[in-house]
Amino acid sequence: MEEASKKTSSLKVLLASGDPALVSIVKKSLSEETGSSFIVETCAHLQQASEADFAKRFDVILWDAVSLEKAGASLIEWRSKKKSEALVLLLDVPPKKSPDEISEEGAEDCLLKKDLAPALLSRMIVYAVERKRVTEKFAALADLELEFVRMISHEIRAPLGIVKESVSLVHDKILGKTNEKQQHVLSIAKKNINRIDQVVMNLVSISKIEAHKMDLKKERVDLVELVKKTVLDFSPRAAALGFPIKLISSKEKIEIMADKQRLLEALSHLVGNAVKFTEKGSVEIRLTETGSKIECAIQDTGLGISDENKPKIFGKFQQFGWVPGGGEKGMGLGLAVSKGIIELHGGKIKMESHLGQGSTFSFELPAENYG
Amino acid sequence: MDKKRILIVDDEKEMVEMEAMRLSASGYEVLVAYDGESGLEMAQCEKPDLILLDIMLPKMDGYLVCAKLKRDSRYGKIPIILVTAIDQNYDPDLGKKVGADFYVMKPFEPKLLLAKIKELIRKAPRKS
Repeated sequence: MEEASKKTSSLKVLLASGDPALVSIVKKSLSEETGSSFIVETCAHLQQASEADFAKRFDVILWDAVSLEKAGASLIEWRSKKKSEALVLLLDVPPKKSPDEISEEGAEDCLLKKDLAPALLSRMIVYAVERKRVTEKFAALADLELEFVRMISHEIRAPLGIVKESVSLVHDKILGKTNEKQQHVLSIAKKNINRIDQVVMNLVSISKIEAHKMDLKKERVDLVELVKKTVLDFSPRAAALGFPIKLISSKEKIEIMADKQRLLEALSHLVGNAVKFTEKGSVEIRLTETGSKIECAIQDTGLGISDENKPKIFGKFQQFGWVPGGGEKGMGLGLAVSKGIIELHGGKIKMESHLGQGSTFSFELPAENYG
Repeated sequence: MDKKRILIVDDEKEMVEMEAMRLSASGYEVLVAYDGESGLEMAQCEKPDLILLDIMLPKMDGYLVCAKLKRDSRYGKIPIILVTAIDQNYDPDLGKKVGADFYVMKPFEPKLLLAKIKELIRKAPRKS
């Protein structure tokens, strides 16, 4: 199959269409092409392409899908089967989504039937096959990275847990009295153990997100309670810096179906960043629920982000600006992890910022998550 | 008053040693087992007041140990806290299915765990 995918070899094409006219046009177009060689077979429906006797015989499936909207459920099913063949949609109606969005849905490309021409169809098929191969290579690399990170994570976190407990035993005076200096040094040790732990957790999270292996364990949670917990976690640090963290919610309780631990993880990064990069003023968190969506906005009066850095803000290993008062910089993974978690929940995240004045990071979650 | 007894089932011996020190200092008697089969046997023999049960264990995993104990009316009332590592993808549905009373992720906050242990022991039905 690999050899068949080279440009000079024949590419095996399966046309899934019940329209004899389209079948005739496609076969004629591909037979006229001199640059590449195609072997074309046909079937009536995309479902047949999933069946055992068709499996792995083809490099690419051309599917007479009519429109992207009509293709919806079948595309989802196709994507879930993780087929090795490239998929190109033949449409009557122009798609309303971008090429990247179409790729996310499970198809490598799409073409309007009225634009069918030998050279274009041929080129599209070759590119779709190549694109599929590259996508699969990346997926395999992401899986490998995740396994590597998991292994490293376990080897670091197991002894780290022992170190943490050992230090805690002395710090908590379980093994005898300690003086003030010893307490102070042990507190620093504990804090930095937590810092290492957080780095490892972030690496595991981002690797899982990139390998599409972060499974959400959804349950009914109260978003207001989760935000309150996060505020409690960061209030001591904010108080030490001399500013409050305020929570304003449109309702006392906002229920949602979500993975509680993951949502707390995302909130921790967002609120933690707001506190970390604010020297004075305040951090304010607003929760609103409208009929169709729930929005959480975290606004700070901190450093802000320059226009140059804004496009990179949700990327991995991105660090901008200095931390007021010095201290941990972090690895620049927190926002990438938060974005991944929010998007996995079907939501969107965005940022507005003015350099020197502060930033607002906000995310919305569809209310359809509830119930 | 007799000391409450906690059984720790974990194959990381040094971690067990640290946890045992903390629990002893908090007034508990500590029993230990280093694999799932021994943990199950010890729980059945000793009937501790609470079990700290690691999930990834040699010979029999924590979920199975928990399920076997909870299914048996002689041991089913013993509170069980499942202990997992962050990279193990703990399944809360499976945890509930096997009857675990709570779960914690390593490395955990010792004081929070102690508070939970105290609460679960207090709420557990008295032994006959």
